[in-house]
Amino acid sequence: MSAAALHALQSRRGHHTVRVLYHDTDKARVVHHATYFRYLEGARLELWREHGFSYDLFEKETGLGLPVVETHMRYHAAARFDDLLVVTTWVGAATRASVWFHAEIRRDESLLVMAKVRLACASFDDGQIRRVPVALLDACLEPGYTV
Amino acid sequence: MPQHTSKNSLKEELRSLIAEIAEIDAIPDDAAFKDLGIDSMMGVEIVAAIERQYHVKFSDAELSQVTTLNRSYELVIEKLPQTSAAAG
Repeated sequence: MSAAALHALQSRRGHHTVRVLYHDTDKARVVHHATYFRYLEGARLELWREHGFSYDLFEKETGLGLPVVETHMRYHAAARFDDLLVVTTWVGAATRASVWFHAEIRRDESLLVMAKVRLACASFDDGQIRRVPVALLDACLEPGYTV
Repeated sequence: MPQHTSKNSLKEELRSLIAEIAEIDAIPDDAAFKDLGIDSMMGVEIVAAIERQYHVKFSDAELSQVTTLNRSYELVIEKLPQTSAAAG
């Protein structure tokens, strides 16, 4: 993303609690690395829902989706079965073409994962990229901020 | 809205704008954006920047038409008041 396309913004933060289930773990008895993407998705959905943006309704009403187009994840420590995790997510950067959701996953005070997930907006009909919906940005950003 | 004394100046403004967003030095008139490494998401960013700078609005259908500098220029020219950019 070019520096010129970045906009100063202030994001809301969502805090989503998740209990590690047995099927989240792998043979090494830790949470599988791919599982964290599901935790991040759940945290994003709850952040949006909390601020009036239903992703389910959005898809049904617009025929658009918000595909993941880029990710970055750094694993600091492992989570294990029955751990109680808190996933905090917020908008780190946004343009009308895509939004970077940043996130951290903690167990108590311990930082386990830092992540960034970039979402775009695309039509289900033709697969073409569209503008990121203003309703999504309104749900995620503090009042008065936009891109 | 910026005042344009000629079509060429508008095209050069667009060239600079697109080059800045795409972080590419040269934007040939008819080079396909995809061949310059400009993907569809960057295309949306380019359209958003054009809309902000020239106070015009692109439809969703027009988003996919922004494929070259010349095509971008044609779309902008169609949307600008005639007294602005089309004088040259």
